[in-house]
Amino acid sequence: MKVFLIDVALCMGCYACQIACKDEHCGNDWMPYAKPQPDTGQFWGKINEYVRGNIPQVKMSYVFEPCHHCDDAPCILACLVEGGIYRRHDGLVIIDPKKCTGCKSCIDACPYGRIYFNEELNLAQKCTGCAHLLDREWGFKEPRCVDACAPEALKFGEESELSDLISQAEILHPEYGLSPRVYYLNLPKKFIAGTVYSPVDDEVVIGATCTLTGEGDTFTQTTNDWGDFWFDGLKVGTYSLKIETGGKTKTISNISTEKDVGLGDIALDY
Amino acid sequence: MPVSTRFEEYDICAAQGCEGLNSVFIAEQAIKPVDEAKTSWDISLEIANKLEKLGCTGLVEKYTQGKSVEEWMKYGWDTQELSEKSGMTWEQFKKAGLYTTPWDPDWEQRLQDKPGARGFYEDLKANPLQTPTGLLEYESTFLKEHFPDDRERPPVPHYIVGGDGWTHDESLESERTKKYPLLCESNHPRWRFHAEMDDCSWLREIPTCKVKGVDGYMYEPIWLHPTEAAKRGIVNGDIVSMYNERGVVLGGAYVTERIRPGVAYQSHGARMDPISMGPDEYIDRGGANNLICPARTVSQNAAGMVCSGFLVEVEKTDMQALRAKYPEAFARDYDPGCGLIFENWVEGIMEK
Repeated sequence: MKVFLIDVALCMGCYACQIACKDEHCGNDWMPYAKPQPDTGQFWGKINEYVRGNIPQVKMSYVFEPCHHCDDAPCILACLVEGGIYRRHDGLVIIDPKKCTGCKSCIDACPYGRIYFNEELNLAQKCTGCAHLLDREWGFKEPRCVDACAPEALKFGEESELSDLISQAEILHPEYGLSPRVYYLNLPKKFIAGTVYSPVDDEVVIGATCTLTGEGDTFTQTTNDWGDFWFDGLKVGTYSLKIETGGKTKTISNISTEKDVGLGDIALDY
Repeated sequence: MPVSTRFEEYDICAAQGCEGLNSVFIAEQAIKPVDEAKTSWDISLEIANKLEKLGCTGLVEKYTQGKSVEEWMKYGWDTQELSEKSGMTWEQFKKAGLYTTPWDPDWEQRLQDKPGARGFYEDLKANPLQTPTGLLEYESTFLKEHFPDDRERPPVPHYIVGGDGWTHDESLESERTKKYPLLCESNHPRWRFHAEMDDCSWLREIPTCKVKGVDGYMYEPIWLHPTEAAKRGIVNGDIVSMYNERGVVLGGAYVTERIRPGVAYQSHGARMDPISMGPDEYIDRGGANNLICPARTVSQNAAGMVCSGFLVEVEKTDMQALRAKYPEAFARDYDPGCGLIFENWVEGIMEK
C-alpha cells in the first residue's frame, strides 16, 4: 500500500511539485486514470502558503497537499455511479473518467477540497498519484511531484518501508476521521518570538534567560547574539513568558497562540 | 527576424572549467530552423550585404574574412592547436564529434592546493590580493587616486542620504517623503528571470507571482505591510497605483507581514502594458517599475542603474476613471495566462 510522506521542514517553497504536476497532467491524456487537466485553475498537487507571526518575527510555511487517497474516502461513497470512484490495490483512489457523469457529488463530499471540476469535459478530476507512471515497466515509479522535489521533502513509497517515519508523522485534519494516506512531518505549530533590548544601554540583551510556561509545558532559552529568542512547536493555548538577566525580570502574561506571536522588541528595564 | 536556437544550427562548442573533463565537441543540427529563424552569423551577413548595397563597401569581406562557418570552426580548432593535443585531424574530429582533454597529470597535487583566500590568510605578503596595496582595502586606493572628489562613490563606502545638489534624492530621510513616503524595493523576481517567463500561465497562478484583480487582469504584486495598507484604505487583492513624479505603475496589493512598514515591494521585470506613455501622464498597467526609477546613474563616475530602491507613494487605483480616460488601452485583447498579446503590438504579421 502506497503512502505520501511530506516533510514540511525541508520544503523551501520552490513550487516545483505543483508545476511538475501540471507538466505531467495538463494537455496529457493518461487514460484509464485521468483525462487532461485544464491549463489553469486546477491544482491536483497544491502548495498552501502560511505566513506566520508578525514583523519582524515572521516565518513562511509551505504545505504541499495532493489528494489524500483516504482509506475511508468519502468520495467513493458519494459517487452515484457503480465503481465511478475506486481504490486501486496499492491504495490510490481514482475517479474513472469514463464513468464520471459530472454530478459533483464527490466534490461536495471531500472535506479536504481536493477534487476539481472540469467544465469543458464535464468531469470531476483530482490527483491520481500518477498511477500511470507507477504502472510502467520502466523508468522511475513515483509521482512527478515527488520526482521534482529537490530537497526530497516529498517522499512516496510502501507504507511498510516508511513505517518508522510514519510513526512520527501527522495527518491533516485528523478530526475528519478518514484515514488519509498522506503523512506529514514537521507540520507548523505555533511560535512565540521576540528580541530583548535595554533602552538604557541602547543595545540588545545577550544571554537573557527566557522561560515560557503554559499548556502544561515549561521551556527555557537564552537570547542569542542578536537578543533574539524563538520558541517554536507550541500548542494553541495561553502562555506566560519570564525574561531574566542580572537580577532584572520582566514577565509577559496571557500570550495567546491562536496565531503565531512575534512580540517584537521587548524593553528590559535596567 | 528571430535568431535560431543552438538546436537549429551546426556549430563547434567547448565545455570549460570542468577541471579534468574539459571538452570540445560538435553540436549537430538537431532540427531545421523554425519558420524564418536564422543563425546570428547569417543575420549579420544579410545585414552586411544590405549595407554594402547602401555603399558600405567591403563590409562582407571584413565580416567573414573570406571564411565559411565551417572554416571558422576549423580556425578555432587550429588556433587552439587541438590537432597536436588530440592527435586527431579536423576531419577525424568532425567524425568523432568529441574531444575530451586529458586529466591534469598533477591532479593529486592540485588536491593539496589551498582553497580561496587561505594563502592570503596565512601569509599576506607572500600571497597578496590583486588590489594596488595587495591588501583588503577599506579605503579604495584606486578610487582615491582617480576619483578623490566623487562624494557619491567615495573611497570609503558609507551610507549617503542624498538630496538637493546630489545625483539622487531617494532616501526615506528625504524631504521628498512628504509626497512619496514609501521606499519602493525592487528585486530580481522570484518567479521569472527579469522579463523572461513572465508569460508562463502555471507560474502566474502562484500567489506571489501575480495578483488577480477584480477585472480578471493579472497584476504584478505590490507588497505592503498591513499598517501601510490600512492608512491608505487598501485591502489584499486591490488594484493599486505606485507612483512618483516620473510616472505610475499599477499592481495588485499583497498585504503581508512579510514586508516592513515604510516599504512597498514590487519585483522588476513585469512586462510593460502601457495605458499612457505621455506626454501628460506615464501609466503602465503591467507593473514595469523600471519606468519610474531614477534615470540617472549611480554617480557621475559609476555607470550603474538605480532601480532597486526609490521613493514612491501607493494608492488605490480609480479604475473607472482610467477606463473612461484611456478606452483604447483597455480595449486591447488580454490573456491572463500570458499577459501581453503579440498581435496587439506588432503590425503585418503573416498569415500562417
